[in-house]
Amino acid sequence: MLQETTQRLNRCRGELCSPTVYTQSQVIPRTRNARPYKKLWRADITAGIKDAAPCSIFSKCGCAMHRHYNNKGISEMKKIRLGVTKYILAAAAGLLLTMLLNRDAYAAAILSRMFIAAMMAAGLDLCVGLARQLSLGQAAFMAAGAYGCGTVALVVSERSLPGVAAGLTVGVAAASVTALAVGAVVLRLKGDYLAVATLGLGEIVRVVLENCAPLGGAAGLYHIPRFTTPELAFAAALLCGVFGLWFARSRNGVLCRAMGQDEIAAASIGINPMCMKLLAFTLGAAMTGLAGGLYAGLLGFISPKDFTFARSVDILAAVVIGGAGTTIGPMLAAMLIEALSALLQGVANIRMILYAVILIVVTIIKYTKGGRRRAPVKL
Amino acid sequence: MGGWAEQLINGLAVGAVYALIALGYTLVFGVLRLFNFAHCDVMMAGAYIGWLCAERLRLGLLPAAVAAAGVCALLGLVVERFGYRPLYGASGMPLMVVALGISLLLQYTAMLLFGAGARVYPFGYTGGVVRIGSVTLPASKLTALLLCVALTAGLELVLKYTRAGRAVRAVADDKTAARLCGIYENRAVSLAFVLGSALAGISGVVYGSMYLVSPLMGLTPGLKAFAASVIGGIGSIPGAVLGGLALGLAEALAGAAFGTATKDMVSFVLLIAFLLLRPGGIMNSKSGTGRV
Repeated sequence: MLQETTQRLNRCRGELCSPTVYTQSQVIPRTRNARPYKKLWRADITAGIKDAAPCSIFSKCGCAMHRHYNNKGISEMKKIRLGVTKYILAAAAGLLLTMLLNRDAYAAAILSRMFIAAMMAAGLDLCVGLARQLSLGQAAFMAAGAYGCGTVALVVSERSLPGVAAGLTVGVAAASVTALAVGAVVLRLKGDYLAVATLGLGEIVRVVLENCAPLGGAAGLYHIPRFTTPELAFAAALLCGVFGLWFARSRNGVLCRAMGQDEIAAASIGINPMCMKLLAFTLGAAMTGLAGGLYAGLLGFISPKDFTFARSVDILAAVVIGGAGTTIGPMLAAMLIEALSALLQGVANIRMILYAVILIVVTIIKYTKGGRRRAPVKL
Repeated sequence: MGGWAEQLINGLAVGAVYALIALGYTLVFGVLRLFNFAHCDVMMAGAYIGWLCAERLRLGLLPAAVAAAGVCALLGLVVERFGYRPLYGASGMPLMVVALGISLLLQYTAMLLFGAGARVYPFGYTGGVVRIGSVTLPASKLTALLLCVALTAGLELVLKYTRAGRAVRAVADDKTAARLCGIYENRAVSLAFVLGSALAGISGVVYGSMYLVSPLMGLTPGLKAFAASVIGGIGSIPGAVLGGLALGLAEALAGAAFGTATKDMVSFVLLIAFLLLRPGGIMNSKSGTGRV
């Protein structure tokens, strides 16, 4: 065990060309009470992380946190360097602002949809990008949030601030509790098998909703107060984005990332992998639940048909296209996809074909570096 | 009594279609360790080819199935060559995302070509009814069962007794060792795709003639066949067949016992239960190790 850990840590260092070489005496085995990673974590675990950030279409423009390794192998966060992206972002922000200021109902709905999609992408990114746990059942958490929020909003049935707040809180709580319960069981599975199990769970939740008479069955819930405004959605998306960025750089976030990189090495220095997985999974689900609540408030009616496997795929596509692990990338990609699909509304079939082709091409280019094979990406 | 017997045969017939689709999942998983999500849409393509043959060209079931198998084999080859092969160095998520993308691409191309509406095979395409004693059975269900048995036997023969088939099994067993023996890995992978896709095409014709043909028809049987392949033990040929038949039966029985609402849930509940409790599936396949 000790030898394997040493080898793994050294391999991590090797990838970073870090000068420090581990010997076995330096690797402290996991003990029950002593928490050796307290001393180790910043210098060692962080250094053992090959950042996923450079793998993004946005990073091509220079919009990514740059992780810098000084000669001691200790990572430092350099501030975000914005190249061309600065202007793109400024243009996008300007466009959004004009849309916000002189908007009609249609533009408002599109804007809200964009922000909601961004929140879901940020949520899934915690799970997929940070903790590297592939989930294909995100729609289930969205459904939990939407139904939780919708039920409360129907009971309160007015657009008062406390009512909305209560609805969203219940939505987030419903999604988190679902994720905790489900995660405790399925997160024991690894890699593709986890994806399969979450896929199955997403389908189960949808079928349960279809056959649950108190929640409206296949017809769903009607006459939910339509409380979602672009401003509210924007505030929520901003909250999710900032939280995601903060969490990724917080202590627990770093531990999550280390666990995602190499579960055995992480466990051997005192990180509880299950704990970290659950944390990322639940936080991601909470964000998705919040998005679901806003979605219910946007449409005014929800049905199980809104939360199919296709929805989960959409969210995952945004994360992959935007660059898993960067938080900002997936959010921007999700907004872009949503805006494009609104623009191409008239030609829905061509839109989906275009979307599929973009998804395929971006993935292939990203993971092959111009047609050549790159070292296997572990997930 | 007659009711239960019909339920059983119904379940077995649907299970046979699941089994045929599951064989494709299992073949590809064996050589590539990839859950090929686009597989169910290859089946959908097969259903459309069969429908074209039946409705426009007035061909019988067998020629239609052969045509569907041929076109789908070609489709599988193209998908493998241009979709997955660039990513063989990578593993896991990128491959899976490309698979999802290809699945979307096939679905919406079909929608563009044939429209979103459902198509129906000509009435009585697979024959009328068969009476055995007091039990009346639609011939289509028996056809499905027979096809499943025949094709599985054929697949076993190909994999066991032809050079190319043995190469597929060798690659599934151990890639490095297979390469050392001079087997072209990529050819074996292509062959696995071709075989799996051809089976999917045939099962598309069978499934389409039992139900409706529409661009999104592949999703439900695809997910269930996928569950079947995991339940049977992914990577194992007998496992896929057993899993498919067992799942079809379980669905029919659950539907009869607890109402149709539970029918769609059974497969996914079984899938998760098997993943957690017996990762190797019914056949306890070796590929299942490392999943927990």
